[in-house]
Amino acid sequence: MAEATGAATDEALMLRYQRGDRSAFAELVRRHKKPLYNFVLRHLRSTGAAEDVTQETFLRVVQRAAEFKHEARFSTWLYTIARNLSIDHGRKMKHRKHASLDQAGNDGSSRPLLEVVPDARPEGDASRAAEWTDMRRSIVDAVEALPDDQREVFLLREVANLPFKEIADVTGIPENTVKSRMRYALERLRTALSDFEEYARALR
Amino acid sequence: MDAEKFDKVVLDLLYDELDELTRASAIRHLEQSGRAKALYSELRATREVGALPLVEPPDDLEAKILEAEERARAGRPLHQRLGTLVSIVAGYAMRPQLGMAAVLLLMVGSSLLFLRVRPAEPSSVQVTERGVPESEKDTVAVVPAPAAAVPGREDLTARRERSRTSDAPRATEPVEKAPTKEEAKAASAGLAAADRPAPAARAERDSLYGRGDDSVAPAPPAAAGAGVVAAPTAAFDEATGEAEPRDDCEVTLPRYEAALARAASQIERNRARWGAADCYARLGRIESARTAYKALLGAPAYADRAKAALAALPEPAVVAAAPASPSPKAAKAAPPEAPAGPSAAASATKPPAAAEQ
Repeated sequence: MAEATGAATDEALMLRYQRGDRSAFAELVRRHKKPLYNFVLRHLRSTGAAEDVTQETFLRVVQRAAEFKHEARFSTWLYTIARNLSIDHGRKMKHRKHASLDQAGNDGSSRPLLEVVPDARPEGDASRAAEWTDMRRSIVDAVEALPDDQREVFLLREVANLPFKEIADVTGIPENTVKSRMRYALERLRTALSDFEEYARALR
Repeated sequence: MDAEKFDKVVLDLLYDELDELTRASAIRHLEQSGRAKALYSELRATREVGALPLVEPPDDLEAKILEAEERARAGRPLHQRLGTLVSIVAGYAMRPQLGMAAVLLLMVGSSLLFLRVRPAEPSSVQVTERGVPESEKDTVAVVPAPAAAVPGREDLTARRERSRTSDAPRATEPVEKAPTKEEAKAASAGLAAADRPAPAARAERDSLYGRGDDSVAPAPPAAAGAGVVAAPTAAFDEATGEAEPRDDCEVTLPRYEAALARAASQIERNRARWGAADCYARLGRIESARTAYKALLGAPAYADRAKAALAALPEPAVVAAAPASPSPKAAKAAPPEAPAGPSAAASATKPPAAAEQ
């Protein structure tokens, strides 16, 4: 059980966890907690809900560890569970008429998404910093404005870093449809960013 | 690659999910087509600028997850724990090293089934064969058998020889004739007697030789009265060559005398003297017989029989005055008068061993 966990694949770690190696599970948590948390956070727009769903997702992995087939990708299995839990949680939140993403949550544990996004504004003159803040807000707004199916594909691709084929497996739609939705999402985002000079520089 | 196909793979090119050939083809089309180049630049800039920064999860999230995992493992039902245990064992059992070891063990084990015990070295074979030396057989064969006229006596003698050498391989013995029922019975009795204790065996052997049974071999009265055929012990048999019939006194007398000379105990000495006295009487050496019988009068076990034998011996005066007996041979051939009745003969044939012992 003292095998190295750093270079092992997710599937090998899961196999070791099925044999009782808890350190393998800890390594899986260490690898996936950040992208998974961000995926759920963008999906549910609530930090408290994102934390609960992330914890619940890993708990499902523990409970259903024996069902995991090694022919499948662990990331596909993990994000499928997280997506289903997020959808269930989103339905419950709709019933409770939660506030929008940029408004404080009623339970106090949820903060507006822009407040939790790290501020990586470039250092320099004040006008450029202000433009960076505006552009950041426009990006978030554009992502939030995406239709659910496009936003879901966009998040799985950009946040979870899943290939298109795995996104198709997670969402249960054809791979070409996934690419089309991604293409539409990028088009909408490009439209939202077209007025900013930073975007123009990137075009050059 | 044309524009339509490029539009299909432009996202794969953007996220680097194309194989080498398709990617090279797409890049060639990108360099040749301005429209394709503009499309690809817009998508790449949007991805670079519009990338959402990742939010760090709460610090205690990992600890909470691991704690929840520990609780979940502890609260699992028994069948899930057994399933995990089976999975662990099966995981180890399916390892190639264990598989190879199992195959090797199976091969070694199965090869043991085909191993045979090698034949032992010839030097280690020990064969124990019992039998009578050939020289003694020859001696027995050349002995003149006066009792050959007695029907069945030779067969019994030969059978007795065979019974003594019963451990010798019998497959080599030639089949002379089919034995009759009586012969078979007598032979089986003789064979059985060889394994019995000495007194019983001697009694059987006496009956085989017709001692005390007039219908088979009527013994001379002197011999019967002298009790020559009284069964000696095994040591005495060995010393005197007791296998010979008692009437072969020309052969057995020297043995009796030798046994008498080297007898270690009084019992053996008395027996040898009894046998010698009997032979003296048969051979017509009356004085020697008388001397021997008189010497036995002092032995309680032989006193009565010696007395009877002495009474049966002819008087010296009669022998000396008898002109009718021209030669010792004639005297030997003429059977002495029976001095005693059947009861005396029967008492004389009784083996003294029981009284001595």
